[in-house]
Amino acid sequence: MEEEVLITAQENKTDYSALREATNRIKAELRQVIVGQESLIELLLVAMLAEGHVLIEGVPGIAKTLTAKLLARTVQVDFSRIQFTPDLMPSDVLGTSVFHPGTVTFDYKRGPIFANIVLIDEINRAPAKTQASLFEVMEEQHVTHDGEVYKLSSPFVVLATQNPIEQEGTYRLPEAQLDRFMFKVLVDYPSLEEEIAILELQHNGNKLKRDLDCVQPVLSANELVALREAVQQVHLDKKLLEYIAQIVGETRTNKSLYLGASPRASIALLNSSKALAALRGRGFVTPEDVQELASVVLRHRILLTPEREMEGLTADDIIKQIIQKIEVPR
Amino acid sequence: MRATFKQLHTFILILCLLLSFGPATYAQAQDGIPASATPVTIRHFNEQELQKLKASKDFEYFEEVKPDQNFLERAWSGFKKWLRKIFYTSKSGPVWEYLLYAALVAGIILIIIRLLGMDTGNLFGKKTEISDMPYQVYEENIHEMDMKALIEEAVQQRDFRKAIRLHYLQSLKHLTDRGFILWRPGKTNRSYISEIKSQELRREFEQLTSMFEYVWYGGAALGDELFASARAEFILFDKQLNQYA
Repeated sequence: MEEEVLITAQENKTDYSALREATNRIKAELRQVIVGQESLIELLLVAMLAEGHVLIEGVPGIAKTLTAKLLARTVQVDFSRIQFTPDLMPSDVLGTSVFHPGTVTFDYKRGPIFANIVLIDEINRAPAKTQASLFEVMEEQHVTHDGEVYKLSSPFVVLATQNPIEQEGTYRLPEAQLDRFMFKVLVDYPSLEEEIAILELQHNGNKLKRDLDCVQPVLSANELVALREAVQQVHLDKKLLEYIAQIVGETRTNKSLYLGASPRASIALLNSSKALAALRGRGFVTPEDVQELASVVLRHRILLTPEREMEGLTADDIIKQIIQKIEVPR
Repeated sequence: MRATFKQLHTFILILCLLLSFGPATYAQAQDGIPASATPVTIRHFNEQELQKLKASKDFEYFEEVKPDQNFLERAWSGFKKWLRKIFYTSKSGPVWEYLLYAALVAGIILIIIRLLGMDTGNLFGKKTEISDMPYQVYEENIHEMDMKALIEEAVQQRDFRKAIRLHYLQSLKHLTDRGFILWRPGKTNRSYISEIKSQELRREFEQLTSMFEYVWYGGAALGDELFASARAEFILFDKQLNQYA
């Protein structure tokens, strides 16, 4: 095994400067409009590179949708936006068969999900029936309709926004769907300085609206696919594989948790750690990468026991405890 | 006119009814009991027997009946009497009693919390940092390892990656021993770097950390020359630590 590791390391000479440069260009485009939200932008880029979907949660008015929309604009790919409402039907998302009287046949009319980057706004305002329509497409990247399988082109990324469950008129997303999101990013209010900067932008002749059009694509679909392949080359030592498995495994045996994370969570943590390492110009993953992403990968996949919830603990608290207890491999 | 006629009828009816009871009452007065000729013997109660019966509890009809108490009430009442007997004096007054009640309530709350397995830290708005986890974790105690011997062994086996790792662990041990960092199994290398207050020391340790990470996590192969150079840096760092101590 040791020999294998050395061989992998010697062969692993991928230059990640191109990847850093590309992501820096995206960040620069976004900063023209978005003030702050550095962590959100970085996590969105990591998810895009790691072929994952992102759920962005936050109170209304903190640029969740704007950030996702602008990120989609920086990459030259097909983009679609679906506004989830309580009366939205699965066919409104996936598509439906339309009868043609001339040919006397049914033709499949593709829904808005057929795009490279799909922004689902306020995802938790649609009921479970509509949510369930996303299961297949999010995991397998194809839609089955009337016995026919329709594949989606790569890259395929779902960026969904939602308001906290405590807000009026929202549903709790099914566990099966939550598990399909690589990250759940919690977006907070901007700092005082950031808020002042936002106000200054608005005060200077409604600059924000003009800037939305200023954001230009800086990455093509092929380039994005190439960057994803580069991320796959990032070296991950066996000790860190065990470390990831240990962290996720502990969520299944922890007495404070009612539901632990699935193997899909382990895979998500692995892939995203590699993407984060590449984003920082490293060709190998460190325990810091794993620790940094553990919360965003696991927080929506675990459920606390009622006793722990009554004590005021959150999923992040339990994840933090687990990380503190497990020895960092070195 | 019609009403007056009706009233008269009613009066005659009542009068007839009253007069009809008269002969019956008279007939009953005629039937008397004949007087007895037998002389009456006066009997007296036995005074002794009477006193004896009066003294018997079976015939005590005016005994004060206390309200029924269940087991808990009796126990509580007994406990209060016992407390009063021990603590209550004419000098102390009821203050002691209130304090005892407060202590008793606090004790019950603590027992309930204990039984429910709740985290008491959260009751006062403070979140517990670390709680006991129901699992055993793998830990390598750097304070119990014979670093020098292990490093020499790794060098002899030409396992340079392992030797670098052991050198790094040794540096961490020295930093802990001298109070620069606080060793915890879950902390990352960057956490330790941020704990070092001295700017210069922090920078040097950061360089060592980068080298260790490149070799250990990055799986980089080390030749004799590179290892010798890296080892020299670790030895120099360990020596410099004494200056900062």
